[in-house]
Amino acid sequence: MTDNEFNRTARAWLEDGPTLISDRALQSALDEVHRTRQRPAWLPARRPRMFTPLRLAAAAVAIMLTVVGVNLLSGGGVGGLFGPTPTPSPTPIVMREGEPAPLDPGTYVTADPFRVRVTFTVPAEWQGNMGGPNAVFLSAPSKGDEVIFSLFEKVYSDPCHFEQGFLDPLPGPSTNDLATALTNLPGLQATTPADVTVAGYQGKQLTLTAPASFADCTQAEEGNFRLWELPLGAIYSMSEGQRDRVWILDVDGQRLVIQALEKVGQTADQRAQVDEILDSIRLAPGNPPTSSPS
Amino acid sequence: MDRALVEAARSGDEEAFASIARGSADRLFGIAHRILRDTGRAEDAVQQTLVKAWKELPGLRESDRFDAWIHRILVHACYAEAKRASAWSANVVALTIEGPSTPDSTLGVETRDALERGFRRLPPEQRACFVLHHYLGWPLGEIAETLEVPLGTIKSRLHYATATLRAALEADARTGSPASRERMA
Repeated sequence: MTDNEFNRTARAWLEDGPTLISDRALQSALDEVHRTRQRPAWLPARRPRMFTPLRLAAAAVAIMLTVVGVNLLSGGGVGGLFGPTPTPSPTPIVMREGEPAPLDPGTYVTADPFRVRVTFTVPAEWQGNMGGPNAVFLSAPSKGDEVIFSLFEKVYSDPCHFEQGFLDPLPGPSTNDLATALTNLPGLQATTPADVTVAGYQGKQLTLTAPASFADCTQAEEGNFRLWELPLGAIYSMSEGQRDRVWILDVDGQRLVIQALEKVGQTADQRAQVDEILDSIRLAPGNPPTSSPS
Repeated sequence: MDRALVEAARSGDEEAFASIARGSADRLFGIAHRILRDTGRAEDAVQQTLVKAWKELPGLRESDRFDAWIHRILVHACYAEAKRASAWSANVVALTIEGPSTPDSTLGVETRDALERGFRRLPPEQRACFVLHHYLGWPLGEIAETLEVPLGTIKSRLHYATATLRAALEADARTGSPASRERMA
């Protein structure tokens, strides 16, 4: 194929496909514009989101609360951090392994093969799935993963350069081992792990923030900034500037990681929905390890 | 873009900005869809672009630069969407590849599939460069200026994108079988 033939082929291929945005999407954007105040011209256009005095103060308060060992949850959900604990519905819907699908609003409980019984309540129009024994994904409509439950051991030694492989040795089995390992990863900004008790289970809470640019990282479709890999091979990687709230909990010997992803463009409403889900989480051991993971 | 509208929107006129948005949303969506290959994510990218443009517009010093400025915001929104979508690679594998609404009869199914698979292997920066050059027909210098990236970097991105897609077409001619999805999570 000559250069001209390739160029013609590429252009023809790119010209295929939709060219009109839906009225719904445009109106949704204009509604959001209506709710958004313009930034005064005298303010710098780009301010690091994590370092405003208000955020620092809020983070300091949150860390102090957790470090002093306040049990914020006492049998409640993760979201005891964010608001009142809701009353779960009496008969949760059992979530089984499968592909992502819309979820009816209501309360769900993870079943086998996921190794921890997680009960949570989702608002309308969310979707989710249990990917296997090691991960459950929840996402808002047309969005990526927002809340993730996962279990893993393998952590990359350098998120920006995945080709360097995993930490050797891997982090130990405790919640502190994993929290410390994540805190020490190069290029990843992490808050000091704080003691936390969630639904009666102890662990660590920290916040991870990816660099604003991955320009110098090794590029690959599976992710340019990789943090960890699940036992069956799924890779978790962050996007530029992404901020994850992370809870690492010991649920009767199973090290469960709960993530709330804060992405660029996330609205206050979307974040409120995430917090509602976190508020609703209940944990229990129960689903035994499956024999298949390698 | 009408300079008067941009000036009005910059001064806080929401109706003026709505006019700008209605006039540019389809074009922005077309670009975002070519980069992201997904309608929902393309709409998200456009929404984020419009909201950010409205928010940051008072800081735009030269109204004449509005078009380049909003395209730069769009491309960065696409980067964010693409990378967020790949947060879990297992989910990326599961994403549906949306076919064209009206397939171009001049391209065979195998060719389109090969390009689709090859394109999905590209980092978003290379995708954007390829789309701006081949879909919008922008010269490399204009891409570099718009994205505020050195010209050499743009040339490099386009070179690698082209090489990847050509390799995909050649590989497809030999095998033509997509990888099957594995249970990974």
